[in-house]
Amino acid sequence: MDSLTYKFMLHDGLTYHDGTPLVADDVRAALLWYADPANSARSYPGVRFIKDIAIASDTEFTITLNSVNLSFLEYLADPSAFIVPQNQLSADVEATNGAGPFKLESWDEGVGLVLTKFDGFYGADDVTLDRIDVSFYSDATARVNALLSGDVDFIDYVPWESYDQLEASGFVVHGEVGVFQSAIFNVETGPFADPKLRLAVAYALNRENATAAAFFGHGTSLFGVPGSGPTGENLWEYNPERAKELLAEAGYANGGPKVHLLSNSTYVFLRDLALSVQADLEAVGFEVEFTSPDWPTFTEEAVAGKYDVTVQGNVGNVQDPAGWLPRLVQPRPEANKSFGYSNADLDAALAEALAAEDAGARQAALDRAYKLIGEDVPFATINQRMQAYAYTDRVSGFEVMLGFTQPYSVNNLINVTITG
Amino acid sequence: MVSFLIRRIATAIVLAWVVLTLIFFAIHTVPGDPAYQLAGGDSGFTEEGLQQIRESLGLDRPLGEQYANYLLGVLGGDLGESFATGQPVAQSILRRLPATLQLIAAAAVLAIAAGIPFGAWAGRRRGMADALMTSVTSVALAVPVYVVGALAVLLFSVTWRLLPAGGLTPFAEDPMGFLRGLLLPAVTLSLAFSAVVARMTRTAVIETSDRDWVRTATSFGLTRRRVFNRYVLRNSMNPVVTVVGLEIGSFLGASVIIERVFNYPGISTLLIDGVSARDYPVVQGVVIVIAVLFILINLVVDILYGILDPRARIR
Repeated sequence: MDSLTYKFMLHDGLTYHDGTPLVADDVRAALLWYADPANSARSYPGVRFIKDIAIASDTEFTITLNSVNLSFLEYLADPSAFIVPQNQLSADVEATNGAGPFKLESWDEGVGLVLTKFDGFYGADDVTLDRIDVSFYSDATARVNALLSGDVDFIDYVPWESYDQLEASGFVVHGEVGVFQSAIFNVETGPFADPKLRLAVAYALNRENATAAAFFGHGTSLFGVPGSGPTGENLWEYNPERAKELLAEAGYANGGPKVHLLSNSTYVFLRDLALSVQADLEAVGFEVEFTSPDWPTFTEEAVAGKYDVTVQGNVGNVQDPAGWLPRLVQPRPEANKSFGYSNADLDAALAEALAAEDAGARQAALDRAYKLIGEDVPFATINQRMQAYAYTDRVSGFEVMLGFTQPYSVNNLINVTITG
Repeated sequence: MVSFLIRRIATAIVLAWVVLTLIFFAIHTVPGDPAYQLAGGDSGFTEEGLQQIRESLGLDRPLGEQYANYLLGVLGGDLGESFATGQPVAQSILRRLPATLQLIAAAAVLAIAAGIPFGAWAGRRRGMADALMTSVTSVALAVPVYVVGALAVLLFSVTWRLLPAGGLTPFAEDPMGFLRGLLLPAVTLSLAFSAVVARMTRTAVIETSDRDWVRTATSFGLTRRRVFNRYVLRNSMNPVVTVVGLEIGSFLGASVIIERVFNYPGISTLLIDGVSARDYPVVQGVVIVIAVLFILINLVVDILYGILDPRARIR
């Protein structure tokens, strides 16, 4: 209706798997539950803008926002903003009753689950798979072997070292870049409280080497904010000499400071990236102490700021940088953002961009934000990794979603068919 | 025999309590906030949200109080609920335990079936047979279990597609599929164990064969085969039974790797997942069950040992 008011009409015949109808009141209850910060919902950053949801009928409702948020519809499309029956809106309840094309038939914790076609789905005629058997393989090699041996037809999270092997064996390997990796900093205490040293890191990183080391070349180098266009994507370059100059300007002309590089031993690609970062930092004069505990220990240390620099993966909830950047540059107890970082000017620029209805004003605000990121370096991006799925030639109709939605590709198997 | 059993069972109960206490304090001391793992790294949680999770899990209470509550629960047969899934831990363990027990039992049967005849044959024949047994068992002992597993998958699953690379179909669903899924993990797990059993049997058979009473039995006119099968082999079994008991206990540890390589849905996978998520109740529950199993196996071995050698009961 306008930038603050959205009117929705629900599709006819929406039904939950238990046969009860999905009505507007369910949408209202779900979105308001996600908008409650106490519930720690992933879609909270978007739905927190909701001021009111007015129900006109079982299929019609209007959402009013507190302020303009051009990413709002994207947040609603995020799979984490599922609409579920109201009795499932509790952390203590198993939310297994949805309204999608497949219903949960059985679940064996840690082993697998079985989904069957839901005939009450409004688009059931387009769904060709009658049943999907999902097996959980936590070990990447076991996952690849399962495909190679014919145990399964489709795997996700294909390890990068197996792309060539699987393709050579006749399997389809299909992926897109989405998730991105960055060096992030403790800006509250230690050497990286000085933005010059953070900038030195941004110039010291050899992104090509890092992509080869961690992803066997299956990724793209990043020199700025992913998906931000020319003004935001080229904030830095690989220039070790410039990094050394910045170290000298920061008072380390005769050798950089000693820094603690924290990584983890659970995600091998993050550890390999961190090792590449270690080599790059040492090449320009930093003295690096490297530690890599397991993931839970790593996250606890990262949230507590027990590091100087670390390497983390991130993905936006939405494609719009004005929508997802705030989470990375505003104080939150998260392991994948710089500890202690805050910048009021940057926050203001991003808020202005998010609320701007005029395209020119929006881009101007974003450009201001990118310039601040380039100078203040709340994170130094390294690369975007390819994330692939592999399957037999019996499988068709699978599509990999683009950008940050890539990890959700397996949520959409409506058009997938399998022969034989 | 009754006092022997009472002594052993009392020791077993004390051991189980010690293990429970150690694992409780160990897992609570290890860094890694369960609330953060539960919230997920990229969700929209706040410090208040994390604190709410800690409160709902009871992690905000003093450690001593948490321990007392847990101990009381265990004594009442309640192992708590998984932080991650909310499922009762006992239920999760009971779902997974059969697969692990089936794996261990199959591996033990294979190892005993292969190891005892092989070792007895080498101990009786000596010479070339002994040299062959020593060489084969050396290789079996030297190659790590994960290498054997990886090679087995590569050959029998990926290359020849004879057996599944992983997983286990329940017996009730498909008995043949169950056996096919069990075969590679069980053979892999049994390989080094069968070598140990073979070597132990060989040594015991050689020692027993040199005893005076063996010569006496032979001089009474009994055939060598009868003396060997009826007297030598039986009297060689005491050390073998002890080793079998200890090694079956160690299967519980080795199965961690086997379950990983073969994506086998056993109790070890539950443990690894629990550690990775800092799911304290799951880790504690699985460790306690493994410890109790280990203690029970040793108890059975002690009883068997007592039956085979009455002198052990006196000691």
